[in-house]
Amino acid sequence: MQITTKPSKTSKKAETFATYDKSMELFGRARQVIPGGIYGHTTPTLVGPGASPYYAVKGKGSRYWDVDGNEFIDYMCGYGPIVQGYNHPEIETAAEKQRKRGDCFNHPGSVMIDLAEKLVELVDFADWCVFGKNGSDMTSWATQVAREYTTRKKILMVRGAYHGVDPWCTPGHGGLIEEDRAHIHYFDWNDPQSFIDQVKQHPNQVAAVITTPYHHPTFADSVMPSHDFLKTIREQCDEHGILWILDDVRSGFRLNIGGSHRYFDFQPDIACYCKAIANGYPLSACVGKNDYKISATKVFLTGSYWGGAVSMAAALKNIEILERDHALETMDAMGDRLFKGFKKKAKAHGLQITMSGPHAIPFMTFRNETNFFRLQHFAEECLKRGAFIHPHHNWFLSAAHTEADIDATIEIADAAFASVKEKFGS
Amino acid sequence: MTKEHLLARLHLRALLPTLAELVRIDESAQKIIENWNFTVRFTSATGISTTLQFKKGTLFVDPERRFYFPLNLMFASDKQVNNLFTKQDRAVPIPIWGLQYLPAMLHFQKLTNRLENILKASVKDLQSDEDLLRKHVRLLMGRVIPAAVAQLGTYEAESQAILKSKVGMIQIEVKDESIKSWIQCSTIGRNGDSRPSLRSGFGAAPTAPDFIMSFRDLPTALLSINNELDTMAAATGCDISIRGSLPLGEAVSMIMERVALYLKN
Repeated sequence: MQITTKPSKTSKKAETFATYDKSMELFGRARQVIPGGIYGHTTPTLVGPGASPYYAVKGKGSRYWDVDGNEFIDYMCGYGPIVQGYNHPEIETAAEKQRKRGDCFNHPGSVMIDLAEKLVELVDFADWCVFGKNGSDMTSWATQVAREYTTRKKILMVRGAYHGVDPWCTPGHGGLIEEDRAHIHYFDWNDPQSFIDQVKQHPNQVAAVITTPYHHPTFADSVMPSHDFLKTIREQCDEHGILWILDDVRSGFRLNIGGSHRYFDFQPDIACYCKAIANGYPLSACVGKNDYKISATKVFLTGSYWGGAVSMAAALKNIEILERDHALETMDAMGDRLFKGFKKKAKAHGLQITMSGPHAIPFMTFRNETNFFRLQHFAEECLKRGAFIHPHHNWFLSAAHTEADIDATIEIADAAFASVKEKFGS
Repeated sequence: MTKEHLLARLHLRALLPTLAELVRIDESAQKIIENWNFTVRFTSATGISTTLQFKKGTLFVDPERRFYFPLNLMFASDKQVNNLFTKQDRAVPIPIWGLQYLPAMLHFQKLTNRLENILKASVKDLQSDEDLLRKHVRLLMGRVIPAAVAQLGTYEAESQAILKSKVGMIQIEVKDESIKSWIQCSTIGRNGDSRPSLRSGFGAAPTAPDFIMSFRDLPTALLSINNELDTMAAATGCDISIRGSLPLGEAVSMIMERVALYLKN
């Protein structure tokens, strides 16, 4: 670990902190030839400019190392995909075996059928399955399938929800025109009446409603769904012939091996998966009911690498291990340990925090703080001590996180809470 | 709200008040007004007004109508306001009262020309004259842009849509240059009928900021003013420090970019 030694204000013994000289040097080159230097969700701007890793070198299990040699216990897991830990030996072996045979051909490999059969078996309502590479590939395609099936235009989505980077849903602002969202209408999470109002306002025009299984907005606590909310959506969809698309990209295969709708006990019509499906190999999937299969055939679906066999081989092995090793139970237990540890340490420092989200996908905020100064400081204090957490985006657990990792992280959080207290008071 | 009206607002509420800072920091401007003792009010036909009080070498600007018996210059339309500021015609506002002060206004253009020379200085001149660059950034980043953002955020539909219901205090600063300004975003109205209401000022934020945007130096600030900065790279490369409520900061940054749509000339 590249370190500098500084006397801590809160501890008598010297602490070692991460430094980022090499990261900054590389970034100086990057910004000359890459707009933004590092763009998209991996930008350090949101994590801690100058105080967080910029470029990764290698990963193993629950940890990874950056170009400066800093080692991090990772709570972002590549922003979700790393569900078994980095470089899982069995998954890597399965992927390598396929890689030696080939990845990109003129045709899909038979592994695509194996994987489709597996997903149809796992997801209780699924009769068919298709594949893409990213979450957006599937969420956008699913809305087209719904439009094809219903011959309607309107899509309803939750205000502040994230469904990808296509113009109809991107949280970005550049390059959009009004027409991109002319048929997208918004309602509020956990507000059944807000949903009913939208359905009423657009009679016989709504093709689909797209939701995540629980609300995980950036810059805010995660919010679980109310039973009434889910029930209302299902009833309205059935009554008005609207398809319910579940965007399970972020939490699919982390909460329930059969899909997050089973964790929260509801039934969508189509579901999109991505992050945890192949432990870091690029793959997304969409499953649906038989009713929509013919419509699915009519919506053109392809991409240069979408038939890639290596990712599918990795996904098959990943799912096999998730089931075999009860990996979801492990993540839930480790997340629970993290929740409890953080709450205990915060309380000991007289700080009020909110831990939100499912245990396997936790997030923390300081209660009653709207400007994030404390949270940003807390994250930087954790980062410099070797725990990678994000101040504004939910975190992820992997099955590779051990009790020792969690306990070490809780101790890091303890020091970070102390620093927050010292700087901001309680 | 028409673009003409919004532009008139920017001219009267963002650009004209900048004269106060100009005479505070610029010797040439101080010399121009050293013997001026009069009050002039610029009023548009749509009711926007700004009052300038020159007194013993100082200038006090008031958007309210607290001064009595000023020279009151009434513009027949928003377009007439804008044409005067952009020098597109020689339309002269109608003096309503205070005619005795009219001769004093004969030299007013000298002062506005001085402001224009600094605000519209060429990049070449700014790069070769650090004092000019300092004044340029101070007047634009410290005065014109925050005031213009406040006007757009309060009155322009597009900016209101960007802000939605975001509230909070924003501080903008250039490190080591004592250039600080603030924008306060709040909402007025309620029961589903609330809308953004913004105000701005020069100096440190009067209450604890919710978002701080700090430029490393004058050249970085200049690039930002000219919309030529890769903001993402600048933030990641620590040329700009951004802390606090990033959604609020992003919204205000987007409105800052909109200012150029109106004031680029």
